[in-house]
Amino acid sequence: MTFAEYVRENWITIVNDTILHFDVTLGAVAIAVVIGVGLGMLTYRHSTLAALATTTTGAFLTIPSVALLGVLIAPFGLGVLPVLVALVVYALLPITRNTIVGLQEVDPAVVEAGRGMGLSRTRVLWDLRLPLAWPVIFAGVRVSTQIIIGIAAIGAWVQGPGLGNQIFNGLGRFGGANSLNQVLTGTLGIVVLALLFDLALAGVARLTTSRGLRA
Amino acid sequence: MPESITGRPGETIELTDVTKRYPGQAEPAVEAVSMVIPAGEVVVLVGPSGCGKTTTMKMINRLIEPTSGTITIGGTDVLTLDPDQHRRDIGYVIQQIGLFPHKRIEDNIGLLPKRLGWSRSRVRARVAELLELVGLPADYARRYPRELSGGQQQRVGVARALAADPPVMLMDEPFGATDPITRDHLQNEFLRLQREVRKTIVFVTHDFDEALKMGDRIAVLRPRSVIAQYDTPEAILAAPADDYVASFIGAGGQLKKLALLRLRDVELAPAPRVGGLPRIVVDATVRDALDLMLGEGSDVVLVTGDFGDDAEVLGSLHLQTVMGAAAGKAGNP
Ligand SMILES: Nc1ncnc2c1ncn2[C@@H]1O[C@H](COP(=O)(O)OP(=O)(O)OP(=O)(O)O)[C@@H](O)[C@H]1O
Ligand SMILES: [Mg+2]
Repeated sequence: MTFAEYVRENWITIVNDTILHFDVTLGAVAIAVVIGVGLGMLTYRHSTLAALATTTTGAFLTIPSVALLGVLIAPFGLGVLPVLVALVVYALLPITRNTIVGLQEVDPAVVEAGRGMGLSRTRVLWDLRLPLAWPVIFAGVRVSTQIIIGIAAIGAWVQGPGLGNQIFNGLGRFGGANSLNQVLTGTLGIVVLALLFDLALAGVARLTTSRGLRA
Repeated sequence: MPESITGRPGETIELTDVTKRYPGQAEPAVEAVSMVIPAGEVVVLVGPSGCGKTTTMKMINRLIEPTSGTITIGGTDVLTLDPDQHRRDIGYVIQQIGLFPHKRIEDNIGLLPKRLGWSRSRVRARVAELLELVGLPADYARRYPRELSGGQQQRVGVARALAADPPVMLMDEPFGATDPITRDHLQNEFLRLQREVRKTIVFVTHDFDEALKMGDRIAVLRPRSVIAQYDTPEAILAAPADDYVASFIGAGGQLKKLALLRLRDVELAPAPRVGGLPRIVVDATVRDALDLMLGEGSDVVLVTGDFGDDAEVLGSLHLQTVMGAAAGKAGNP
C-alpha cells in the first residue's frame, strides 16, 4: 500500500487522532497559561522569587519525557491524565519566564503615571502591566505550544490520545505491513498540526493585542 | 469656560520641616524643607540636577514617603489620608510623559474619571473639553499615543492630569522633552490655561528662564532642597539673596526683568502727534518694546490696543521709561 492509499483508507482514525492531539495540547497550554501567568504575576516583583520560578520550571523541561510519564502513571494511571499533566509541566517555562520578563520590563514611567493618578498596585498590574506585557507573554505561549505538540506524541506510550498512537503502532511492528506509513502519518500530522496551530495563535495574538502596541 | 474646568480651585500646600533620607544614603536627599505654596499659584522649584526637586515634589503626592516632617493640603495632613485616594485629588505630570501606549487618547484621559464612577457621557464630554483646552483636534481622542508627536503627547499628559479636576497639580519638567519653539508654545498655552483653572501648581524645572516665565513664585534650591531664596520672579531678579541665586539668574538679568514687565503695567506717555513711529501691542513686554526701539533706531514707540495699523493707540513708551523700569521705578502694579 502506498502512503496516499494508507491515508485514504484510514482517514477517519487519522482525523480522530489529530483532533485528540490538538485537544490535549490546547488543554495543556490553557492550564499552563493560568499557572504560568499566575506564577509570573506573583513573583515578578521579587528578583529571588522570580529566579526561583524560572529555574524550577526550567528544570522541569530537562526531565526526559518517558521518565516523567512513567512516574505520573502511579498517581494518575494510564490514559489522557498523565499526558495532560506532563504537557503542562513542559509548557510552564516559556510562559512563566516571558510573563516575568514582560511584567518587569513595562516602562517605569507608565507605572509611575498610573500610581500617580491613584491606581492601586493591583489595578496597575491588571490595567497596565498585563496588557503591556501581553505580546511578550503570548510569544511564550506560542513557544510552549510548539514544544509540547511534539512531546504529546510520547503520550501514546502511556495509552494517551493523539497522533503518537500512529507512530507507536508503526514502530511496535516495524517492518510489518504499513508500519512505515503509520510512522510517517503520525510524524507529518504533528508537523502540519504544529504549523496550523502556530498560525492560529498568531491570529489570536493579533486580535488580543492593543492596536496601540503594534508597530 | 464650562463650569467643570474651573470647578475646583486650588488649595494651599504647606511643607513643614520635611526631610527625606533614602535608605543606605549618608546625606538626606531633602533636608528640613519648609514652605507655603499659596492656593491658586504656580510655584516653581528650580535648582541643579540632583538637588532634590523631584523628591520634594513626590512627597506631596506620597509616591515618596517623607522620613520626617508634615505636609498639609488645604489644612489636612496628607499622611492621614489613604494614598490612592489622596493621589486622585492631585494631577501629576511626569517628565517622561508616561502615556498608556495600549489605550486610546480618550481612555488615557478618561481612565481616572471612569474609575471615579463618572457616567460614560460625562467622561466623553470631559475628554472633548480637555482636548480643546490643550489645543488638540477632537478626533485625536480615537488615536493611540504612538500616533502623536512628542509635544502632542505632552499636552495629553497635561490633559490627563487635569481630568478629574484636581485642586492641586504637580508638574515635573513637563515641557522638558521638546524643542525651544514647541516649548515656548506649550508654556504660553499652559499660562493661558492656568488663568482659567487657577489650580495650585508645583512646577519643577532646572531652566531658570522657564521658572521666570511660569512662576508666580520661585523657590531656588540648593542641594538637599535647601531653599536659597523663595520669592516672586521680580523680587528675585531685583535682589538675589546671594551669589548662588545670582549665578542662576546668569547674564542679562536686567533684560530678564524687562521681559517680566508687560506694557499694560507700565505708565505710558501721551502719544506724540508725529507719524511713522514703530507700533507695538499692549500685551507685549517692555523687553519686546526695547527690542523694537533698537531694531528701528527710534527712542519712542506707540503702544496699541491690538495688532494692525488702524488699532487704537493707547500711548507711547520712551527709552527713558524703559531705563527707569529696569531700575524698578516705572512699574505701575
Ligand atoms: N530611590 C532613590 N534611592 C536613593 N537615592 C535616591 C533615590 N531617588 C533619588 N535619590 C537621590 O536623591 C537626590 C535627589 O534626587 P532627585 O531625583 O530628587 O533630584 P532632582 O532635583 O529631581 O534632579 P534632576 O533635576 O536631575 O531631575 C539625588 O542625589 C539622587 O541620587
Ligand atoms: Mg527630577
